[in-house]
Amino acid sequence: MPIHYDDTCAVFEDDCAAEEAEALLDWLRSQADATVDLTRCVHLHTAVFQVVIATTPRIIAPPKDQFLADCLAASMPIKK
Amino acid sequence: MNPLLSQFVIEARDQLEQASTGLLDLERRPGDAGVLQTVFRAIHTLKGSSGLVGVAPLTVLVHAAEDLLGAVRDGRVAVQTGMVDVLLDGLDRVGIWVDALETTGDLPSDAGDTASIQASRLRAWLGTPIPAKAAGTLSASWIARLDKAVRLETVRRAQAGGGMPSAVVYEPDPECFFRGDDPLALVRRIPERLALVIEPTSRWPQPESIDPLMCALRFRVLSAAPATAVEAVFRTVGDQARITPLALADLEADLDLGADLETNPALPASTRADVQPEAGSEDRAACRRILAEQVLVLELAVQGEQWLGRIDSVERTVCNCLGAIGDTDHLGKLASTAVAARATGSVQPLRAFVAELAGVSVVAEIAPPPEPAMRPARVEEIPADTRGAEVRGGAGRVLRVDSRRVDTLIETMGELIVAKNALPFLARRAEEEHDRRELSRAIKAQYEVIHRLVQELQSAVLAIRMLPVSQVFQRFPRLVRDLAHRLDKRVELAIEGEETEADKTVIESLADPLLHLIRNSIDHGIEPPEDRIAAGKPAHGTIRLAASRGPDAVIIEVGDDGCGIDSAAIRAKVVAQGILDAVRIQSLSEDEVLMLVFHPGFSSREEVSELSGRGVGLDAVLAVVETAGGTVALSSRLGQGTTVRLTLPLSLAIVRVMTVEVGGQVFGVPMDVVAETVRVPSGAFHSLNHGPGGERAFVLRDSVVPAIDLANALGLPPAPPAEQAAVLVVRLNGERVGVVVEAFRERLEVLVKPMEGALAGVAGYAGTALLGDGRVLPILDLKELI
Repeated sequence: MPIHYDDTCAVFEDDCAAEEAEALLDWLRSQADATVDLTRCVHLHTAVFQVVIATTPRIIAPPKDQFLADCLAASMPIKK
Repeated sequence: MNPLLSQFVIEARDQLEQASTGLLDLERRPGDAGVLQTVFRAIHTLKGSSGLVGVAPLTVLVHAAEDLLGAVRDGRVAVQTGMVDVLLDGLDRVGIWVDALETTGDLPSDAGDTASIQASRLRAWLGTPIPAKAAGTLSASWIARLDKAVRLETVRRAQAGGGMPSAVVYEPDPECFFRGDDPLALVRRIPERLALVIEPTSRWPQPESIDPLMCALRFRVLSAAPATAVEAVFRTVGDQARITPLALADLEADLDLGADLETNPALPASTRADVQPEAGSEDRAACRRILAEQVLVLELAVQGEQWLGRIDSVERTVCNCLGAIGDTDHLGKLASTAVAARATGSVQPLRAFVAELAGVSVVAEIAPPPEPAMRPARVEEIPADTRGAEVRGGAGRVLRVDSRRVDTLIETMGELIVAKNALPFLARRAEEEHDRRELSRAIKAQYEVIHRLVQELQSAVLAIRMLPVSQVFQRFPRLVRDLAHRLDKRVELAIEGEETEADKTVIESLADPLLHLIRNSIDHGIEPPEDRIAAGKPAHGTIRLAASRGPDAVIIEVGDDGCGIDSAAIRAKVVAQGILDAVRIQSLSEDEVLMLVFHPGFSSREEVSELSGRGVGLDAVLAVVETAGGTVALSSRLGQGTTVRLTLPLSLAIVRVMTVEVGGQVFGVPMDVVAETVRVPSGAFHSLNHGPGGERAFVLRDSVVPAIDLANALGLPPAPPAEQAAVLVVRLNGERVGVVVEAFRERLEVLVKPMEGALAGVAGYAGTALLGDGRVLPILDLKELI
């Protein structure tokens, strides 16, 4: 599973494909205070990325992948 | 002209045509996304192919049009009449340039200036005019909002690399996820990314109503790589991304460059670290791949002179790649190698050089040098068909043939008909001179077979020249629109039967008459909107342009629902202008009176308007149509409109004639004027006025038909008196006239050639044809003669 849901934190790993987007959105909607951990994520499909920036969960760990980090920085204020 | 350029000229015309037609539709139905897409695609393709032939001003202008259309598509700008005017103007200009490219191989010298003026007029509609010196670039206000340090870095890199940086605005299709697109993956591949802005296309909805399967993002990227390198990334989604080369002016908005570069060459660590190492290596890898492709391109077989174009495009691509990775050291060698390749016709050294740059090894014995003789054998391997189909969007398999080749075919065809027509002569000789009836019959039988084959061949050959009337019709929507605007009238053009086909010559001869008729309808026929409303008609006038196929003829009707023609006014006018006297005009029927508008010098309007009514026009229409062997009819009802009907032969080349004998000579009369042939007893002629050479007439089925002696008209010795006279009844200008000849001969199909040289001015002849026995048959033009 590229994304596994750990209590209130969604942990992303490797390459997260478009199919993950709906499940992620459902999960984010159900959480009052959702956080995401993107450290080990190497690529987010645009659909998943879009869900993340549209729902603005708190990113507890930014991605190591520089491009993804740039993209997040370019589209949402990172809440620490 | 090199083949690449001539192909561009042909395709550019198609695309301009599509775009102009589409723009007119768009003006009428601004919300039609399909039409907008068609226009956009035509312009986009034109821009792309213009880049290949290196006509920069043209590209700049088309690019500006594309940007504007892109803005319309994105809903940022609404379609308005003024905008359509500017776009059409731009396309007209491009059309002029395309003509210039065809004739001189180059753009006019003022093209650069014209392009930037017209481009800025187009961009003015984007709402953000740009400074003149940045012509050809996007006025990217978002760039001005970028961090100063980033812009400074871009300028610095651009100056170091010698290329222009690019701005990308990429708005993926909302449904792109369903096609498996991942826009973010594409953005990741943009080389030398310096700045990135990601924003929703509209405000994010509440989490409950987010649709995770629809893409709602817009990406803006600033890259130090040239536009060509960036375009490669977006090749598959070209219509969703706009990539614009940036002039330094766009970046320098508020930078004090000199000072900043001197004192502060280093940039904030974050910017550099973010971008450089990764982008640089990605770039190099991409360039190596592109260069490797160029090596393959040079190995492909090409036909004719296309290898020149190929060397051009490879050189340009390699040059861009070198620019993108900041490698200026090899540019000199590239240029010299390319020049050598063009001069010697051997691409081997160029290929080796590009391979070296790409870091791929070249197998020594592959691909023989492209010597002309070697190439055709391998042409079949190139999927030329698929490329063509891609460009023309499945327009069917169309063969473009030089019209001269078809003309040669038709001439040979004409000679074949002449040769065929010799057989009956031969049959007669066999019978009469050699008394070989059997042989004569065999020749006749053989003649029938050849006749049938020749006819099939003839219709097949003539079909090649057949064009749909849409070829002429397609220019009229634009004309009607412009004229109506100028006269403050509201006019719709309804076109019917545009797929009707006729011979190329007929189609071409139609253009001017139709132009006159449509002008007349708009100027004199359609009333101003307020008058129309007062008369209980819709404010919009309608002009109907309809083509249909009649027997052996194509019928074109130009009708309007305007004010119609007042025959009383015409009667008065004709008398006042001294065209006919008051007594004569009383004898004319209503239809005959209406036809007087075609009389030379007739103009029903008091004042001379800007468009028509200069006293020329309708008579010119009649002249052109009659020269083409056609007829004109007019019907009009006062207050309800006027319709002019042109009937033209399907083909001008082959004419059916009736041959007649007069004074020992044979003449041809085109069958289309012959109504019937009758034999009239000499006693049945009545003299209308006495004396030698006086007018005569005879009674045919209870009506009086004037008779003219052809021998007399041609100045030939009069025929010996006979009991019966052979009379050819012809229809001229709607009246029947009897033409007295000595004898009727056979009917023939002949290829009529116009009179040339010293004979061109001789009145009374339509041309000549060659008979089967080698004699020349003069074809009479009875209208002129009588």
